[in-house]
Amino acid sequence: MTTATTAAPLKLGRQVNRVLISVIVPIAILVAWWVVSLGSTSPFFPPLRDIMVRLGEDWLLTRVVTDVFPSLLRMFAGFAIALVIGVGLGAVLGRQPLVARALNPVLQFGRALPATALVPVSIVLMGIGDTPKIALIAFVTVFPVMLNTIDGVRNVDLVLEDVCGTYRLTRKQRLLNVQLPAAGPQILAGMRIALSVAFVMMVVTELVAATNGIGYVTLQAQQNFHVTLMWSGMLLLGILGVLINGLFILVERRMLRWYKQDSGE
Amino acid sequence: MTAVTSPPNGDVRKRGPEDGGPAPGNRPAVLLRERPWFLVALPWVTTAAIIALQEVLSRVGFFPPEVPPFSVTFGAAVQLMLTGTFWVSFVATVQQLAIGLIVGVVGGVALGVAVGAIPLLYRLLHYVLDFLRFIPAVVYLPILILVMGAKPETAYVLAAVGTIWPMLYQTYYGVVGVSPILKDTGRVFGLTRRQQLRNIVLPAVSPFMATGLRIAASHALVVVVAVQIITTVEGLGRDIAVYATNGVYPEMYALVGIVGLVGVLINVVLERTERRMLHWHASYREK
Repeated sequence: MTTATTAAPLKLGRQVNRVLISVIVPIAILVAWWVVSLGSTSPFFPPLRDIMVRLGEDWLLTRVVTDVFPSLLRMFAGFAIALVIGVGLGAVLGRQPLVARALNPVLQFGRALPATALVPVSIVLMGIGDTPKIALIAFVTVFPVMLNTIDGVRNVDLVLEDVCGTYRLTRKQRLLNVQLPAAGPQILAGMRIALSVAFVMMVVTELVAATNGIGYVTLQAQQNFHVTLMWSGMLLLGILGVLINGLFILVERRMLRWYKQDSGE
Repeated sequence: MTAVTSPPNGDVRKRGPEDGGPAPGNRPAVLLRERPWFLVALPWVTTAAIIALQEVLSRVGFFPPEVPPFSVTFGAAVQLMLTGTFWVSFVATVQQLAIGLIVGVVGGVALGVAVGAIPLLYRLLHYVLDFLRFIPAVVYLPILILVMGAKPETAYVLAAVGTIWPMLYQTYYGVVGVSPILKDTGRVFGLTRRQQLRNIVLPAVSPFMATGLRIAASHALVVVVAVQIITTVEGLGRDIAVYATNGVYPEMYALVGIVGLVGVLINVVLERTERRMLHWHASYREK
């Protein structure tokens, strides 16, 4: 970091070069896909141009309201519920080592169980509407958040604990001002895992049983041989996956700036 | 630290490199030392109590009829394990998981070493890789069903895709993280390339690869089960879906439990192997 800032004016040309090198391959791939597929008559691989047209006209104009928003809403609702419960319960359990120990087998089982196996169970118990999807996403993403919070809150630096004692902070002050921030890096790591699990579950719940959503439309398109629509749905899901994860990393980096500075990275 | 406060405590979980963050105050609770038998028994007792509670609540009708008592589910699990069809599905699941993992690990490690060792290659590819790594494997499912059909091969490919990204990135982090001092030392002592690889690079990278493998294995299991549920490719996931649609709930829960135990078993085996093979490494060493 420091070398980059001090030598910035000198290396400007070099940095431009670096960016140029980095974009060669992505551009080449896109151009190649576009050109090669342009005259494609293959039933499986339609021209990229048609896929992009579908993406623009179909998904971004008409299906935004009917399918894209419902999908994202379910995912973020589930993730938000898991966040509140996971951090809340995790903070309590992290300070109660006995209770955490007592519940450990259950929590470890919950984390190790492949989340997708629960999709049929959620349909049996709650049907195929929005609520079961949100509940299922919340249920499976709560484990990484909670276990990381427990671990983070439990392992707060002893010196910090002593400082809390010296200043006679109340339990609430300790939790909010010391323990949770100290556990921040680990909680965020858990959130990152949870977010990608939530995305996978959003797609899978819609592929198994749904009445709307990006995954649902994409699979229906595949089953009805609307291959261009299917490809555009896959492309949209891919782009969303990249955007959501990328945004989260930016947020994470911002929130952890103090931590990186402290640890001298 | 006096002798009273430092009896060996084998149960303190070691922190893997993926947990991140320093753990300066990693102290076991005071109670851990005073009454070990109580603490060893506690998780078992609690788990048994939760199971008993589920049994009772289910019997008195607290749960909907779709949730059978634990004893019924357990009985169904035992019955299932006496049938050949269960084992066919079980073996199919393990096979899909193993093939996907092997292909993904080989591909991911090879690519990770390549982009880690050749900076130009990393410059050229990193945008593409960063884009692709965030696309969950299940997104490729529709086109794979279309091109390959609902066959075990589809599960192999998708499990491999789920495996390749964690392996690639962990290997890459490991390779670029090899200490320059160690590398220089190797050069000064005139080690051959092969010796450098075996004695310097590999030991530095292996903890990262172990972490990658643990992440990859759980990804791959999620993906394989998803493929089985969605495409009815043979396996435990498909059986869960079939029992669910036919309303055979004890068998459904039994299989969910078994799949969960498979997940736990994979975690435990990988963690144990990791700890044994990497016992010399700083982050696994006993204090």
